[in-house]
Amino acid sequence: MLVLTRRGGEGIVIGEQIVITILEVKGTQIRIGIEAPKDVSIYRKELYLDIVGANKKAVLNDRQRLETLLSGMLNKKEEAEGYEKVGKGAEKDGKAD
Amino acid sequence: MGKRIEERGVLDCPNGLLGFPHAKQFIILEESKGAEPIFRWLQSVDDPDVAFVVADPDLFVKDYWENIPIGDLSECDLKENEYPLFLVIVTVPADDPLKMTANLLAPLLLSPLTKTIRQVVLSHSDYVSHYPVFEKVRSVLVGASE
Repeated sequence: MLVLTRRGGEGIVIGEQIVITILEVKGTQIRIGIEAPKDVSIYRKELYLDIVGANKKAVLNDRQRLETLLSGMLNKKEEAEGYEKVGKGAEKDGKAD
Repeated sequence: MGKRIEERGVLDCPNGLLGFPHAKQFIILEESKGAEPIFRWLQSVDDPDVAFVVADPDLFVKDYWENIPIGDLSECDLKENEYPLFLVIVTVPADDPLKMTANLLAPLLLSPLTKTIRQVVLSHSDYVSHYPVFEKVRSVLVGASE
């Protein structure tokens, strides 16, 4: 990693199109201004890592698997709820008949 | 949305998705045979191993797009009268599908006009990257099968 020391008002140029300016240094906080072309995305690092992590977790490459998961999921949930519904359901069904 | 999404053909993704910079083109595939499927597949054309489950965020939260701070979409360069479609990536953990979540913080913005798709990080919104959606999905699934 390249390490540079800068003061408030000073800046850094990256390539031909990106300029980073240290706007203000106040205690533990530093305000930074960034000039970059529109197609360069800029993120707060913690947010970027969060999204990359979420995307990597979300990659599933088997369509069949999702179908199985979905139907399995429905059955599992219904089974779980089945127990509490048995009593109430029977009573309700009885009245309806 | 319905069928129209599937008919858009190959979508360009100039910046790739975060963490997948090489995935520059996608197609959207329908998941189930239902009239209005909940999930769709966002399949990378470049890499067969890269595919995501995606869904319409309005299924999960009310007025999803109305609650996005305007500044968060400024980098998207939307044209006047351009109405993008939003899709969110859904994570379905293999070991516990009931813990499925949707990434409301970084939706995919699909521009029908330019046939492009891009992932936008809504850094000024209150949305989260792992929003639990199982109950919603279940109620839609159960409702549709009745």
